[in-house]
Amino acid sequence: MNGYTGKALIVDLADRNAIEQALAESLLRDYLGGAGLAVRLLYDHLTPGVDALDPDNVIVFSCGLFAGTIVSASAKHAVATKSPLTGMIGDAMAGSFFSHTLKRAGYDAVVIKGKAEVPTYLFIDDSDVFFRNAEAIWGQGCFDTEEFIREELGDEAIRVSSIGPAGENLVRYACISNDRGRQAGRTGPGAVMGSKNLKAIAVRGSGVVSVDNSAAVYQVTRELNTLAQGPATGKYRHPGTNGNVLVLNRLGVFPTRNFQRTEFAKADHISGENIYRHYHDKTVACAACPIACEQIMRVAGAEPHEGARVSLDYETLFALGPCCDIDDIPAIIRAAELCDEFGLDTISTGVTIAWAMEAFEKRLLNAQDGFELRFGDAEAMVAVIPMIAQREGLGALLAEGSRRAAETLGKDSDYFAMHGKGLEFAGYDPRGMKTYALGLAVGTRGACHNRSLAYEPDLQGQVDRHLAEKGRGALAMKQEDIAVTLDSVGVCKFLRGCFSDMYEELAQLYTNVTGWDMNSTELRRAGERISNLKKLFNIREGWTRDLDRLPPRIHEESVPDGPGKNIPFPREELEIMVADYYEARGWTADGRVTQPTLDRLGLADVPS
Amino acid sequence: MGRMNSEPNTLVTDQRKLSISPRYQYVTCSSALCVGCQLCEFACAMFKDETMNVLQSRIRLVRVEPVQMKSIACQSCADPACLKICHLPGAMFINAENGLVAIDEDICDGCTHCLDACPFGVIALDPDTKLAKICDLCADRAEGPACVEICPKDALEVLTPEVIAQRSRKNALHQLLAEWGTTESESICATVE
Repeated sequence: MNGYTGKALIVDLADRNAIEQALAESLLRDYLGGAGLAVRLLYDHLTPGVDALDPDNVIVFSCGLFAGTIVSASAKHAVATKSPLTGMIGDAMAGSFFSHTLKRAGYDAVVIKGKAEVPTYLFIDDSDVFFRNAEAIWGQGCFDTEEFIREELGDEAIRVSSIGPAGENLVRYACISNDRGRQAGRTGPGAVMGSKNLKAIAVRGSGVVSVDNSAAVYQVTRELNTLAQGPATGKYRHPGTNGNVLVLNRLGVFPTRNFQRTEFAKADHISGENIYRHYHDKTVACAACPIACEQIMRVAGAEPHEGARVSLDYETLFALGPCCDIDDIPAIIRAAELCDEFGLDTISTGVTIAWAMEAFEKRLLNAQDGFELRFGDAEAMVAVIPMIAQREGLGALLAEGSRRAAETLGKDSDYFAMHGKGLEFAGYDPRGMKTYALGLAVGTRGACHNRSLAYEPDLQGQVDRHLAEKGRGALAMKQEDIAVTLDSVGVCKFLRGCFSDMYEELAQLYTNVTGWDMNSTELRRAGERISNLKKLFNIREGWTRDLDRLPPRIHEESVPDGPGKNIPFPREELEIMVADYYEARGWTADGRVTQPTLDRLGLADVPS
Repeated sequence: MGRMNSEPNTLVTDQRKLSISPRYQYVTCSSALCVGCQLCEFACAMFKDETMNVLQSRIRLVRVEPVQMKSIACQSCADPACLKICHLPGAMFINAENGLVAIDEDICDGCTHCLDACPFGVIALDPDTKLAKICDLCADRAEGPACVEICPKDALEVLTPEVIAQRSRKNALHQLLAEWGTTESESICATVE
C-alpha cells in the first residue's frame, strides 16, 4: 500500500494488550485519514453514552495521509475522543514530528481503550509495543516529560505525545503536547489520557512511507514550497498569527474584557509587529513545512518573568491578554509558557479566567483565601494557571471550564460564559462576523474558529459581515467541509492559500501518493461525509437542537466598538441562519441527519 | 544570498576555475535561518536513494528544543578521521575530482568505525544495506545539491570556510559600525575620532 500503512494499532491499557487492525481501502478512501479516520474509528470503537472520563471512553490518534512523506506542511495528526469539556465529539489537531514518526512505525492510527492500573506510558517501537511505568514522571510538565522519555529510551529521534499535571488532574480542557510547542489543544483530550493513567505515547519509527509517483510528488511539493514563501503565507511567517491583532482591532472584532468590548486601547502595544520586534527569539517549523509559523518569544531583561520562553500565537495572545484586559507582554509570555508546561489549552484557560474576572467584577465571586482575579491583573492571571492545573482553591472551579463553572456559581453568570457547547470562544467577536457566528453555533466540537473556518468570508469581504441572511448556511457548510477535508488529509490550514483549486490539487496529490484514483468530487464528498459523521456522533451522544446557540451576551448586547458599533444581533437572526444551514446540509428542520443524506454520502452502514 | 550551485554543473566541471580550493567546499547551514523542517533530509534521501526514508539522508537535522536547529553534512575535513580509521583499503578515499571523501560501496563492509570517528556524525549507515554513505555534494546532479535546492529558508549553501569567515568578518565590522553609530559609506576614522 502506498501513502497509507493500512493498519491501526488497537491498545487496551487495562489488559496491557495491543493488536493490529487492518484498514480496508474503502474505509481509507471514505475517511481519508487524520480527523476523518479518527472520528470513524472512534465511532466504531466507542460504546455510546459512556462518560468522557470513564475508562471505557476511547481516544484515537490518527495520522494525516501524507505524513511521513515530503509533501508540504502535511505533518498534522488528529486526536479524537468524547470530549470531557463538551460531551460531544472532541477532535483536536496538532502539527510536530509525531505523525511522521507514527506513520513510519507502521500505523495510520492508534486506538486506545481502558485504563492502566498505574501511571503508564506507551512506547510504540516500530512494530513492538511496550507498556512502561510512568510513576517517576507523573506530576511532571510536558517539556520535562518529553526529555525524560527520550533520555530513558536513549534515542533523540523518538517523538512524544504527552500530558502535564492538568491532564492528570482531569482539567476538562487539558491538552496533549508534542515537540514542546505543538498541542492537540482543544476539547480536553489531555484529561481523557489522564483518566486512563496514560502519561504519554512515545514512538520510534524507522520505516518508510512509500509513495506511488515520487517524481510528481516532489514537483508539486517544490511548487507549493515556492508559493509558501509568498503572500499566501506572509502573515504566518512574519510576524506570525499575532499579526491579527491590529487587523481585528481595526474591524472592531477584537474581544476585550471577556467580550464586553471589541476594541483594545493598547492594541498597538501588543500588536504582532511590536511583540516580534522586542521578544522574537526563533522561528520553528513542523516536519516538512516550508512556512514555519511557530514564533518563539522570549523575555529578556524584565523581572519577574525573565527567561520565560514560549511559542506564542494569536489565539493564546488574545485569551491571556486582551480577553483578560492584560497588556503586560512578559506576563502573557509567562502565562502561555505555564499553560504549555502544565498542559492546558490556552484559549479555554484565558477565556475561563476572563469569565472569573467578570464574575469578581460583578461581585458574584468573592476572594478565596485573599486571592481574587481582576481584569488587568497580570500577576493574578499568571498565578491562577498552576492553581487550575492542580485544582487548588479557585482553580478547582475554573478547571471545569466556563460552562460548568457558571452552572456551579449560578447567579446568571452563564450570561457571560463565552462558549458554544462548552468550548470557549477563540479571538474573534461573532457579533461583527455573522457567518462566523453561525459557524460557531452549529460547530460539532463547539464554538471553534478552526473547525468552522467561517471567519474567512467575513474577514475577506466576500459577504457583508454585519448582515445575517439566507445563503450563509451554504457558505458555513462550504467552509466547514474545506476545514474538515484539510484536517483529514492532514495538510495544515496555513497552506490553504497556496492552492488555486484546493480539492482538485489535493485529489491529484492523493492519487500521486497512494496510486488510487481520486477526484475533486469524491474528495469533496469525503469532507461532507466526515462532517456528517461528526454530527451523527453528537446525536448519538445526546445532542439536541438547543445546543446550537451562542451565549446571551452575543444577542443582548450590540456590537460595542468599531465600524459596526451598535449593530444588534438578535437571536432570531441566528435562528434563521441555523435553519438555513440545516437545509443546506440536507438535514431536518430540527437539525437531524436524514436517511437520503446518509444514503447519498455512503453513511448508511454507520450504526445509529 | 546567491547560491554557488545555481549554474548547472558548476560544482562538478567548473570547480577548477574557483580561486579557492574546491576541496574545502561543503554544505553549510545557518542555524539562525534553519527552522528545523527536515526537508533537506527528505530531498537527500529522494535524490540519492529514491526513497522518502530520512534515515538514508547524508545530511542530518539536529533539533534541540526549543530553539537550536541546524542541519549538518560532511564538513570536508582536511585530515578526515573517517578516512584514517577505515580498515579496508579503498573503501574510503579522497575523490581526486572534487577533493571530497568518498565511499566505495563494493568494498565497504559496514563496520561503522567511520561513524564513530566522524566528529560531526555525518556518515549515514544505510538501514537496508548496512553500508556507510556520505555527502558528495550531489556530484551526479546537474542542479547541485538537492538539500540546498529544497531549503525553504535559504539556510543551506555550498561554501568554503574562507567565505564563511569573510561573512563573519563583515558582520563583525557592521557590528562595530553600529556601535560607533556610523554607516558603511562614512569613514570610520573620522567617527572614532
